[in-house]
Amino acid sequence: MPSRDTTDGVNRRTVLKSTAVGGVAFLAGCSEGDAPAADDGANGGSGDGDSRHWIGAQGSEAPNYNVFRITDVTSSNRVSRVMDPAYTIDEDGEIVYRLVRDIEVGDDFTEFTFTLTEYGEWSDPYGQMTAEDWVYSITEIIQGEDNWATVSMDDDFRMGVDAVPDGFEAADEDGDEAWFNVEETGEFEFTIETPEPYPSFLEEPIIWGFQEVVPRELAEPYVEDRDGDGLNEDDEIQDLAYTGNLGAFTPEVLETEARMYAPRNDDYYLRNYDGHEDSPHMDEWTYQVMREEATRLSAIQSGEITNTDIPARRAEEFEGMDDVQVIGTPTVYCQSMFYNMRSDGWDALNTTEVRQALTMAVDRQSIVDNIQHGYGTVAHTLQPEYSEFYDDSQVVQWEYDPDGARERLEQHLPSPYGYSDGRVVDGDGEEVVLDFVFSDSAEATELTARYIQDEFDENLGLAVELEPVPWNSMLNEFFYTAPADARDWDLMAGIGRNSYPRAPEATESYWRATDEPWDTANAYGYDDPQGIADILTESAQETDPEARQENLAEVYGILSEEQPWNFLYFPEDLNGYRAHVEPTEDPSISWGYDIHRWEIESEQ
Amino acid sequence: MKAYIAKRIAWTFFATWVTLTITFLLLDFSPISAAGAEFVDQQVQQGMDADEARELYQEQLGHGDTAWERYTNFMVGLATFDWGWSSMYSQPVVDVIANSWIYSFQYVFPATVLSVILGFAIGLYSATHQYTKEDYAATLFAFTGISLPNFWFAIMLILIFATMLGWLPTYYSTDVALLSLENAKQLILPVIVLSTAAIASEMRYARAESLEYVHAEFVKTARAKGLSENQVTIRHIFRPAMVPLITILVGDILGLLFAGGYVIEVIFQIPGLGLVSYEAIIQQDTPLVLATVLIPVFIAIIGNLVQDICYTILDPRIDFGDR
Repeated sequence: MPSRDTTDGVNRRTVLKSTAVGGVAFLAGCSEGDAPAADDGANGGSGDGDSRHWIGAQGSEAPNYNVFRITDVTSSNRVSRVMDPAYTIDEDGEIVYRLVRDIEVGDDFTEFTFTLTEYGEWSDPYGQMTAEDWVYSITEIIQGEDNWATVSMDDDFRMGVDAVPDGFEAADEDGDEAWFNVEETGEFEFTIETPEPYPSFLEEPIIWGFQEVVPRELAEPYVEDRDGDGLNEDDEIQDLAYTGNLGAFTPEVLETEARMYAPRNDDYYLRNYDGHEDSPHMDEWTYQVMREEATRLSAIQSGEITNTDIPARRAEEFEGMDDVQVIGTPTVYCQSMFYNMRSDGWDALNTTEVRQALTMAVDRQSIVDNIQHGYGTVAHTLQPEYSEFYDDSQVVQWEYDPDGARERLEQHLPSPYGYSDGRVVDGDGEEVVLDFVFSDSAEATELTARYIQDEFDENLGLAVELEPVPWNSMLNEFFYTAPADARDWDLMAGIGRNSYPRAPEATESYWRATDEPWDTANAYGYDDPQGIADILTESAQETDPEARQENLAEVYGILSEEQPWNFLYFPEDLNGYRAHVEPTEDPSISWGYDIHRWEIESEQ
Repeated sequence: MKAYIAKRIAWTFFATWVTLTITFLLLDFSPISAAGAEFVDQQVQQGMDADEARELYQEQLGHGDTAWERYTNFMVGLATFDWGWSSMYSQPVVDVIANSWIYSFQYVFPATVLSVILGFAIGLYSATHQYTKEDYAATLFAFTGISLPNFWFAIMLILIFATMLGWLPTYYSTDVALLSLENAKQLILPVIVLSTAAIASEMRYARAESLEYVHAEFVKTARAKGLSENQVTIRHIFRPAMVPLITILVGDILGLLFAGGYVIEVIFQIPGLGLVSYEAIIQQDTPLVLATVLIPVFIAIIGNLVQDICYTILDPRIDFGDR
């Protein structure tokens, strides 16, 4: 697993949306495998000898290769090496076709027709990949009755509706959701029909990055028996042995806690298309599990691996090396501090001006400069500044202003709170002490928490008690737990949330107010007084791009004003490569989408 | 003696059952794992209710709905050698262990042999040459070895011998044949790190135990009879000292394998049992934890049995016949 701070909350959907489909993340995978080969050249390092052998270090093992259950970056990246997605999106936001070669969108944005490559072959004995395989996997497994296969993305192929329209099936007992209709319309063509207009469908990670398809013949026995465990434990599924010529590499060795080794796939279907005739440009690909950061950094320094992530605190040192290059790429994850606005939080946090004062009291630029070592940008709302939905004229930027912050807090503290001897006190004159719980898994989070504690203390006279806890405890015992059962917390840090700069409507669940918020993504209990969630829902069905842009810009303006979280910063991903690697794309949130065409020369 | 061994084996089964039951209870009543929490968080962000997401996670694990159901599933599985499915590695538990034990064995075994032979030899030498320069040097080595944290020592060795000098690889790669020079080369640093502390520890024990006999009356008698110094040292000092020393052997091997091994395996990226068992505990992969608990429990209990039998060989006065 990558450091919690940057990837907590990163799932398959968000992975596909951000760091590129199977791109350059560094995590790991496993399974049984053949005996190690003695001479595949890996141990000599990526650059030794004539082999164009890519060795990427991953900080954890891949937990699952069952494409219907993958939710982690490590497994997703590994699958992406041996099986392409339906399509991906490049640095300019344009669709890049992979297994899907053409897409037609109906005028009313309810019908989407996908044409598959004719060159796709499963491994023996499953033959040619056709639309039948895709429709079968979607309708029988992903949309399977009662989620018999316990797939992780069964929400993807349905949507909320006021009433289930004719011709659609209800996806839940209450009839609040309807399944998409998925039909085979040709040997290589299938159509997805949505019950209501879905203009952002292609920008949502539904078919974008879709890899959840297996040969019908392979899945059929399990579908008939409704045997989800059987499907999950099938050797071909867990060994990715069915992927045929659908990926740039062929899985050959999958070793627990060690490596995935995949030589070049000379029959790669994509070679039939212009610009890809000689893809991939590497002869071999290895993902090497290396849990210890010091070992990863030593290995890239000595040239034994081709790439690994570089921690911000060491970036300058590695940038100064001749043999290593460090490439920073923007991320879509906003590192924030949540306020507990539920009944078990400090009730003053429900006041917008109080939250604004807390934001003004923290020098976020200092956090970026000193904790992130300059690799990141201050966040003013849940949208990075490069997003087309970030509108300068609407976003309120709360600058660091200790005096203004104290003044604002003093003016807007709700009764019975007030100031006494420069400290915030309650109605009994007792000093208010906020519980700040944060994930103990990342040094940056702890430093940030300590810094905020000092800032609140000095600038606001507000006492904060820090409580570092394991990430799973934080989510399970504080966040997703009803106030009656939850442990005390007022502030929380260590959860990175995706800003979805391409399809911000996906953040609707962050703001949707409910009676039991602790069961939802809005577990901090934001009451959404300005109806942000509704605007996002409407925006998802808005067919006019300009109107959509206006809606979303308004949302991010409101969020910057409301400050439901303290949006701290957007960190930068720092990717370290040996100097002989030549990327063919510009740094972007799509980083790595074209990695099979990157140049990698022998290192002498 | 046979009755004693039979009783000890029966006790083995009982002790194993108790240990596994306690392990199961600790795991089953632990909060959700990091992987589980992450799964739930992801599902909730996509619109699923948190409780539903927790249920879905439990369904994916497939261990059973109630604690009793899970317990009986695991225990019956262990007893029938169906050790279940590792959710952390998505493969049968038996395969995980079968794939990983050899990687631990290939460096733990030489490290253990080295530490026992060198540790005992240096300890014995130190004891028979008390307060000499050699004794002080050995003591210095011992305290240094015991004091050096393995993780720091390992990283330093990597920086010096791999990154700076380029003589050895920085990490263990499974893509070389097990019986090859390359493999031996990449095991040098792990063996050095693991055996340094162990040699030091064995050496201190051996020195202390041997000292008890260096000035013993029967040793003086042996010398007076004209035996050579080597004969005196091996037969009359080392042999009686061996009895208490053997008691620490099983503990040392387990410590090397599962405690020291974890640090070594993480830093050198050796995909062995120490790493696997540690990750299984952290990720609460119950079937894998139970299986990996079973192994040291067996080693400990059987090892202690073998140890007891060794006593009777080393010191014929010891007899378990009436127990």
